Formats: sequence, C-alpha cells, structure tokens
Amino acid sequence: MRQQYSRRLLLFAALAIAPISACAQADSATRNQDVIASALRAGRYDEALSGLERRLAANPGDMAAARTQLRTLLLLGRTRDGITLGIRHGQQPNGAAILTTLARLQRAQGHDADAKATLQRALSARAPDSLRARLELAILAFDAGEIAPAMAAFDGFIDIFNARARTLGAEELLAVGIACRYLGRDDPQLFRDALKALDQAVARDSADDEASLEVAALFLEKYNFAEAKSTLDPILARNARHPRALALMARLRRAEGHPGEALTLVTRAIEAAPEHAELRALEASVLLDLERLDDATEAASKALGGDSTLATARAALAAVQLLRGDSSGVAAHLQGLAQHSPDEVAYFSALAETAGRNRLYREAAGFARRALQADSTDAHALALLGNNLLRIGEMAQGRASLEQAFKHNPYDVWTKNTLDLLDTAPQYTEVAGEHVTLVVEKKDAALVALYALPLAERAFSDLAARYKYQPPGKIRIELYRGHADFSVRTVGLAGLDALGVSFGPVVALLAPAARPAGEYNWGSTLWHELTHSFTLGVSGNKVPRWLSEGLSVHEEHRAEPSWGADASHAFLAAFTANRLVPVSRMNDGFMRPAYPEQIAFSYYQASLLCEMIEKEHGIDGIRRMLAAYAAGKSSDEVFRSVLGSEPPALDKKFTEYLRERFTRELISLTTIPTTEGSQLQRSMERARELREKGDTKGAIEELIRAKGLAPKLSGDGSPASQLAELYEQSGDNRAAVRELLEVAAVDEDAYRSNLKLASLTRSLGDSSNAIAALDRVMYMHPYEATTHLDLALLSEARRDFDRAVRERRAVLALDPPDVLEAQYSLAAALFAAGRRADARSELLRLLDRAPHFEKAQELLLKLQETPPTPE
Amino acid sequence: MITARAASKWLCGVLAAPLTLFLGGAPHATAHGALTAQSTPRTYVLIVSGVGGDSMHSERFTRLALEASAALRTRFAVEDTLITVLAERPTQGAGGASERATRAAVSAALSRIAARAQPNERVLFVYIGHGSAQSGRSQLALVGPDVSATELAALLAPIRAQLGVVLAASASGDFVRPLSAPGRVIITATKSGAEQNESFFAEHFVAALGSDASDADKDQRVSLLELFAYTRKEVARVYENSNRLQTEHAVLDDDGDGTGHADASTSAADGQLAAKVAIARIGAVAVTNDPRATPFIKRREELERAIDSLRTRRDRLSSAEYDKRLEDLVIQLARVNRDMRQTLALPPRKP
Repeated sequence: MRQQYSRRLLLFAALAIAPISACAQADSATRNQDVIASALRAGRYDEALSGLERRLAANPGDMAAARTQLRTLLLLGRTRDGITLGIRHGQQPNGAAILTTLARLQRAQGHDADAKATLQRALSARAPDSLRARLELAILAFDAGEIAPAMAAFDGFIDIFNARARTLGAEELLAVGIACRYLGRDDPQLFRDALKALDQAVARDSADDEASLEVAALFLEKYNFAEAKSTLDPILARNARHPRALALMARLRRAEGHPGEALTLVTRAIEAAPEHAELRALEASVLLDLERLDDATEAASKALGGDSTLATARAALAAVQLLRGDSSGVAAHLQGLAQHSPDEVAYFSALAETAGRNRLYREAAGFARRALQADSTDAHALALLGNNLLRIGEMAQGRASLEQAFKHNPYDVWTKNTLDLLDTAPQYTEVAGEHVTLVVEKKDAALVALYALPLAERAFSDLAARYKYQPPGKIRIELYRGHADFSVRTVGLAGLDALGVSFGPVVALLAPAARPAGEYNWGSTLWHELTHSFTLGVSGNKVPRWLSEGLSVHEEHRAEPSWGADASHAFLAAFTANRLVPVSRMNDGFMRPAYPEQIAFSYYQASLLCEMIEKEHGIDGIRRMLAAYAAGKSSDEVFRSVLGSEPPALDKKFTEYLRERFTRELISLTTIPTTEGSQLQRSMERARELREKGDTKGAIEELIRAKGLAPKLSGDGSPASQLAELYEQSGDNRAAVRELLEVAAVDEDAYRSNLKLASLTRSLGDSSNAIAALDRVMYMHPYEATTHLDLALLSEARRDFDRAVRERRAVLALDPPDVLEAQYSLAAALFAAGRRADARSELLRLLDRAPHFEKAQELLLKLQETPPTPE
Repeated sequence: MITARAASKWLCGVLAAPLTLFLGGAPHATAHGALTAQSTPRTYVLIVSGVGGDSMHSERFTRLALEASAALRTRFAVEDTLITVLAERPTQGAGGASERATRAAVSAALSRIAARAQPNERVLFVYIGHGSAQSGRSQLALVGPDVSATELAALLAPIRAQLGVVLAASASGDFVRPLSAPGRVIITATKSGAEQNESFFAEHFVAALGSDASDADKDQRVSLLELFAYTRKEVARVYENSNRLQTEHAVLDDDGDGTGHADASTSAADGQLAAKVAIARIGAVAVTNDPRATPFIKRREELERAIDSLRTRRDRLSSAEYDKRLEDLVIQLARVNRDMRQTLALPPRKP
C-alpha cells in the first residue's frame, strides 16, 4: 500500500510539473516546481498560486505554468481572477495553450458567448488541447438548447477514440469520456463507454484527479454510492481540501440522507474555495434540506453573485419561497426565470429534488413535469417524476415514468431498484379498509390484515379527531418483509437505517415478519408513521422534522404506553450533562446530530416537548403550531406566536419540565457515582454468579439493587425480567407477574416477557392481564399459532368472541397442520359471537371440502335449529 | 390395477373396514360392499429403525419406530402379530423391536411376510434412519452391511400383496426408480440421493400417524396421500420457521413410472392410488356390527352420493344455490348421524 502511494505521488509530481519543468533550467526553478506541486497536492492552493505567480512573473510565456494557474483558479471557483489572467496569458505569442481553460472559466462565470469565441480562437490557433476545446463548444451548444448539433459533435469523439485510442493522452480520453456521458442521454450504453474512456484516462495519468472525479460524478449520478465513495476516498486522502472531491462527497452524503455531514463537507470545500459559485449553490441546497431557509437564501445569493445563471442557486431561492409557503414568491421566481437561466431542465430538476427532499412530493412531481416540458427525454427528470408520483401513491403513472427514465438511463441504480421492486407487485395484495389500504405480501396478508387494518383504522380515527384533519384519500400502507425492499421503496437503495417512512398519502414500513421476535414492534411503527401522514397533511407538508417526529412518538405513547422511546438512563445522563440539543434548535438534533446517539435522544426529547406543549396549550396548541408552519412561519415565529415564548425561554421552561417530570429518576442518577455503568454491570454479574450457585435469594437481592441503579432498564434480560424468572422459580408467581408487568409497561419489544406474563397471569386466573399481554405480543411477532390459540381460548372463556374470532382467523391464516379443525373452531367462534351468516359460510366452505366432518355437520345443524338471539 | 374399492381399505387392519363404512366412504369412492370383517384384507407391517451412528440418532430412530408401531396398533387397529419392528437393539414390551436391524433380519422378515401376505392383502414397509448415495449406489444404513436399493427391490419382489414403502431417510430419493411398480406406493423423504442432509421426515410422518390432523378431509380415514401431504407440509414448515433453505423434498410415486412427485394429488398422475389407500380409525366397530345401524348407514350413503353428485354440478349452479343445496344435504346427514347416535345410545360427539 505504501509503495503504491509513493508511486502515485511521483507520477503526480511528474505529470503536474512536467510542462513547467520543460521550460525550467535552473535548480531553483526545479525546487520551485516541487514546492508548487507539493502545495497543490496538499490543497495549499494559496501557496501554489503564489509560486505560479512568481514563475509567471519571471517568465510570462510559461504557458504550462499559466495553464496550471488557470485550472487551479477554476477549481477554486475564482473565475473572475482566472478570466482576467487568462485574457492576459492569451495575448502571449504561445497563448493558444491556455485558451480552452480560459473558455472553461468564462463558461463557469456564465459568459457563454465569450467562452464560445475563446474556444473558436483556440481551434483556429490549433491549440494543443483542441480536442477539449471541441468538447467545450459542444457543451455550450448543449446548454444553449442546441441539442442536435451538440450531440453530433459529441458523437465525433467516438470516431476519434476508435481511430486513435492508443495514442490519446489522458486529457483527450477525459474529453472522450465526458462526450460519451452526454451521448448516454440518447443511448444509455454510452455510459459504459464513458466509464471506459474515463478509466483509461485515469490509467494513463493516475495523478490527474479530474478523470477520477468525472468517474465519481458518473457513479453518483447513477446512485452507485459505493463506487462513487471508493473513487473519492483516495482523492480526499491525498488532499482533504480538494473542493470538487469534497463537493461530490457532500452530494453523496446528502443523497444518502445525511445533510448534516453534507454541510460539513461543503463547508470544508468552501473554506478551500470561498468564491466557488457552485459550492455556494450546493450549500444552499443542503441548507434547504436542513430547513435553514435564511441561511439557504444567503448561500444561494452568494452563488448567484459568482454566476448569475446558476440554475441550482436560482432554484434554491425559489425553493425557499416554496418552503415558506409563499406561492406568489415562487411564481415571481418562475416568471423571471427566462432572463436569468436558460437551463430549465437543471432549474426545475433542482427544484423538484429540493421539494422532494422537503417532503413536498406533489410539488416535486409538478416541477419534474416542468423540467420534462423543456426536455421530455431527460432521464433524471423522468426519474424524479416517477419517484415522487410513487410517493404520493400514483403507482401506475409513477411506474410509467420510471420505465421511461430507465429507457434513457438504465444505469440509474435508484430507478432500476425501484422498478425491480415494482416488478414484485404480483407477490403483494391490497386489503382495503375504510380509510386505509394495506399493501402486503399475499402469503402474509390474511394474518397481518387481521391486526394491521383495525390498528390503522383506529389510528386514523384517533388522529383525524385530534388533528381535525381528514386526508384527501385513503392512505396506502405498504408492508415489506425484506428490509432491502423497504429501503428501496424509500430511498431507492438498500441499507436505509429505518423501520418505517411516511410520504403522507403513502406509508411504507417493515412487515411483522421482517425482524425476529422481540426485535421489532410493527404496531408502534405503523402508528408512528400514520401520525406523520397527519402532521404532514395538516401542515401542507411544512411541519419541521422535529415536530413531526416528536408528535409521532408522543402519539405512540398515547396509543399504548409501552410503545415509543422511553427515558433511558443514557437519555437522562445526557440531559444532566447538558448534551441534549436546546429545544429551540430541536431540528439540529435530527439534521445535524453532534454525536451518534443524539438522533435517538432527539426523538424522545421532541416527544417530551410535544407532551409539555400539549399539557400547557392542549391539542389545540399543537394544531395551531401546525397551522403556523403551514403558513410558512419559522420555528422561532411559531414559538412566539403560538406558545408565547421566546426561544431561550422555551429552552428554560423545557429544562424545568424535565427536572420535574423525572425527579425520581434524576435523584437516583445523581446519587449514582460516575462509575454507575460498571456498578450496574458488576451487580448483574454478581446476580448471575449467585444464580449459578443456586442462591436465589441472594440473586434476587442483587437484582433488586441493579434495578434500583437503572430503573428504566427494560427488556428481556433486564433486572426486572430476571427477577421475574427467579420469583417464578421460587414459586412466587405474583411477584413474578409484578416484575413482568413493569417490563411490559415500558418495553415495546418485550416479547418473551409478555409471553411469560400471559402464562403466569393465566395460571393465576387473571385472564384480563393474560389477554392484554398476548394482545401486545401480536404487535411484536404474530407468527406463533400457539399464542393465537391461547388468546382464542382465553377470549372464549371470557366470552369475548370478537377477539376469539380474530384469533381463530389468525390460527387459520398460519396454515395449521389441521386446517379443517381450525376452520371448525373459527365457525364455532363466529356462531358464539352471534355472527350466524359468517358461521354458516365458514361451515359450508369447510363441509364442501369435508362433508363427513361430523362436528361441523352438527354445528351447522345447531345453527339451523337455534333461533337467532334477539338484539 | 387395484380398484378404488379394494384400495380404500388397505392398511386398515381387520376391524377397520366396518368403521370406514359407518363413518362414510372416501368422497369419490363410497365403500358399499365391505360391511363384514371377512372382506377386510390384512396388512402386514415391517418397521426398520436403521443404525444411528451415535447414541442420539440411535435413540431417535428407535423411538420413532416404536411410536409408529404404537400408532398403527392403537389408532389403526393393526394386530400385534402383523407388525414386526427391527431396531439397532431389541427393545422390550408389546410392539417392541424383536431383533436387530441387520440385512439378514430384514430379509428374513420380508420373506416371512411375502410367504404369508396374499395378493388381496397389504404390506407396509417403513424405514427410519440414515440413507446415503455414493457413486450411483443408494443404501439404507443397517446394523452390519447396509442394504442397497437394488437389494431392497429384490427383497420386496416376492411380495404379492399390495405394497407401500415409506423411506424416512436422507438421500432416499434414488430408491424410487428401483422400487417403483404398478400398484405400489413409494414415498421417500428426499427427491434424490443428492439430498443427503439429515431429514425431518420421520418425525412428522410418525406424528401424522398419531394425529387427527393428518385426516385432512375428516372422513375418519387417513390415506397414504394424506400422510404424505401432512408430512411434506410440516417438514417445509420446519425449514421456513427456522429461516433455512429446505434441503429435503419428499416425493411420492404410485403410478409405477419410477418418478416420484412432490405435488402428488388426486388430480395428478401420482397420488391417485395413494389417496384411495386409507387408514381407518378405531373406536366404533360395535356400531357397524349392530343391525340397527344399517338403515342409517344406507341413508347416509345415499346422502353422500347426493353430495358427490352435487359437487359435479357445481359449475352449473350459482354460488348461493350451491351452498343452499349443500347445506340441505349436510343438514340431513347431520340428522341421520344424530338419530343413529340416539338410536344406538351412543354418546354425543364432543365439539
């Protein structure tokens, strides 16, 4: 590894300096070259530029130095300086050598006409980089909407490659690669050729990062993040200040859903290249993702100061108006578009992308359509349209658009993955409720719908009443068994670290079968995501992330106390250590977490803030907050206008609220020495040793101590659950039940504890708690037939026949060994529930298969001979 | 070819046939003429528990063989004298293993059965243990020398009675071709000799013998096809529940073509004979011997034929009309059964 690295450095030095050294004679000049090369390599651009200035002062005709200088300025976005210097260098007798680079600077500045003239000069003067000049002319034509001649010009590069592949230099191969990338628009196979040419360019000159950066950009464009990252990593390892590499990495992290990290990267890039207009535009886009609208406006304005035609910056300004709910502001931007930026595809695509990232999916689809009006074959715009339509449940149109996108660009991983996922649609079925439609795997549908549909309908009714909002149509709830499928549905790629997502009209989440028992509560996840659908809907999708997440967790708690995050020891410790984000900047906890755990803490913290607000202002207060956000108000304005609190006062109030709410826990926390974690560990270890020795009494005492150290520590294996085991072993089932009830009350994933609780309470004759425990289990892992059978029997014993019917149906859905017996039991439960028609229907289905089944015959006879019970 | 009527009583044991009649014939083969015990063919059973290779497997195979023997004796009323069990070590008690499971013992037992079993009688051969297949040679692991597929085929050849073979062993799939013959039902735990991983088939086959759940159509008779279907489904469930790729795929061959099929059914080439080969449950023999039952049985048979007839006309009726007619017939059937129970003073069925 080290050897290879050294070789690369030597190559870099050789290639970077070669043109300069050709003109250098003296030792001092060589030393100067080394210093410049070293400075460029390390990202010390000022030092490199000073060195180049000195060289050029000594020899104004050193065009190699001039070209390096201009390319460095281009990299740094110092286009004005570059143009001024380039014009001067171009007047030198051998000035043609820098004309193409000058034209690139002019294009970057938005001076396309000047760039065109410069390029024509370069070609007339037979500049050494005339192939690149031809490429730049074609790009200018393409950007000006002269697509056909531009594509013809790009096409010529293939002939050049085919005729002279072996003799082309790295820069020429780079030009071929870029041309092929443009050609890929009409023939996606050309993307492969682009990669081929770029790879050859890298191979021919591995020290010049430009070709590698084009490769990374190509991968990024195709959502192949892994390849993009592996291309960028070595560049950034060599030069941590490389503005374009940092920008590409920022785009990558942004696309992966980490806007906070993206901002850090783009900030680093701007530090290296503060005048770079495109970096400012990227910064504006990332700030929009972070819901920092004022900062985004500032960044976009700076970008436009550098290049007034920059479509992405202009789009960011329009997006700010959009996110503020200022439709007239958006309209004004769109009206003024023609005089600023002719690149409508880039403009509307950027707007669509920003709208989509900010949950304005319908608007995103609208902007993508506007981009397609400018170029109906643009694969990126087609993909944006398709994906956003899928997010609002317009499945057929969304798919059609993605098919089109794929036709033009089969290398877009997001599009391909999503189409692959849509191809699995025949494996899924839709189960319609009054307000929701479940989309669930066929083999799982009968079972999952039994629980998911009533739960979703209950959530819908509850949330509709609380938020005084009726979604315009049925909410589509998609449940995916495979995490990769869920992830693709959400972000087009596998690997999303989440359990569910809500796009508003569409919710996607992991199916109950996606995780092993005890690792996932699909019921709480469903409730959480449905809450998002309401808070998004009622706020016109403008609710900030913190409030949407906070309300979702808050509503989970309301629906079932054991659901949702809880006050873990780590959370309380973070609170006392002042490591929670101030609630007035709650969004930062989600968008720019200061440490890995902060996101998880922020969910719970935001829910506590919502809880506090509801206690003080009622649900009406929360509704008014959502309405204020819908009107485009900022969080600070909402705090003032709705809560009557200045942000610092709100922070203070919340801190006091937490101190009061967790008084007991905080006291125990403060009395525990800082080594509390290890104390707990030691205590648990001692308990284990005592258990192994058979000292149940001693182990119980130790576990009680451990529980005191961490009263909120829950889950299977926690002190409480172990205490339950020991109490049961010692015959004290009531004490065991007491512990298990504690576990079940706070841990939404306590699968085994709830099963044990059901078993013990049943043995104690407490069928009410047994039923409650088994009911909770169904939202964790509904795949055990014996659990359903137990719940059916308990329910029948309590004459709770509706529940019994559900459980009998669940047994049947699990395809038991004795299907007819299960069907008979269902019919019997239906009969007992007074659902005579259903019972008859079930019996006839059964007897059609097995007319000899005597029990079923008798039940049918009983059904006929027993008069209906009067209502 | 074996007729449906004769096959429907196969493996029932002497006392099972009248019960079958009492409780109703197979859906498509109502057994009219088998009211008397004399018409019931006998079934000879040889259960071989192979060599385990370690104590865990030895104990497991022996236990399963004894459980199968017990189920056949108690649930299906097969006479003790007709059941032979061979195991790695002889066991004590009724229905236990009389000898060690050597090739000689297997050969001797099959010779004895071949000499006794008449063409209108049945033989069931069940092997529970390890199987192997190497270089095209498939074998069952016995104490001492193993027995190959061709050797087993030769040992079974003299049997003139109808033969059912169940090989609950890994790598047993390649036995199908050598053992296949018209009128035989061959069931193997795997589809080929290449499926050599440990099999779960035996556990679930034995469970099927002992469980009401295997009587899929609740006609109080368990056919070999029902046993196969139950076992196959439960084996698949084991793999699915443990999130593992299934490494055994049981097959059934009963059309004599030497190829077993996993999807054997009454409508497929394989499965039709096995569906008619039923095992009856014990428990109501006295009823059938009571002359007071005769009119009820006759009436019930009429109703069963009417239900069969209705089913053939299903496509010509609306769903509601079909249900109504089915309901009428089943209600009549239920009343006949209830009246017969009252007449014969039998206890009512427990729900």
